[in-house]
Amino acid sequence: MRFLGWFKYRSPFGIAFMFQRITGLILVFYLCLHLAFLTSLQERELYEHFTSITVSKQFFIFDSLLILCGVFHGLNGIRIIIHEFGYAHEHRKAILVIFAVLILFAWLYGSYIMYMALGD
Amino acid sequence: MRGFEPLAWLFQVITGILMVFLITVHFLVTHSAHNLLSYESVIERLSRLDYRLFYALLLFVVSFHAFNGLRAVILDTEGGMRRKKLVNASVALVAVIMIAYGLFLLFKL
Repeated sequence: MRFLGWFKYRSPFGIAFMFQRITGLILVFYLCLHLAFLTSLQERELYEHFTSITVSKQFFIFDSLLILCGVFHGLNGIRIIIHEFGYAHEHRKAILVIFAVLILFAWLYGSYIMYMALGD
Repeated sequence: MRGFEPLAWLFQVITGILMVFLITVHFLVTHSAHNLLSYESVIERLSRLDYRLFYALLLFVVSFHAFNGLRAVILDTEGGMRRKKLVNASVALVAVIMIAYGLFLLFKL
């Protein structure tokens, strides 16, 4: 399969497959970035400089999008596991809808928690 | 179940389920109040053995899941499948470096 082959599916399941891969790649990239960021903990001034940028309302949109990637990848992954083990295949459309709703709620709730923790 | 690939798939599933819980805990520990990401708070957490063990587990689980997933994505391409051994070795090397660096930071701080 070529990279562009991911985009050929038009069904909701194909779109979920495409986003599972895209969010997975984004999260691998973020993992590397996160580990590099943690290097700054060795110097207090550097860490505080970085967090003054990243822990802010201006930066919140990126955090919220990251939560969306994580929540989608995690919950859609659980949905895939349920079907991979042979469960509820006859209800897979309904389960897709239920998980889409769960993803939406988890994303909004996670973003709300993070936004409230930012303070003034 | 024999061979590396079925085992890699099984561990991908196990680490995936584990991560849902571990990352939720990590998120709540670091983002549920304003001062939890202050330098003092982070250093205080990392000086505790329970948090160090938690983060070491998180590091292993996330690194395996991330790089095994990346390996699967690359091997799903024609070019990746032609160079399977190179892909496996390269991804494993990067994962080992990431885990080693993460452990270094975790236990040095």
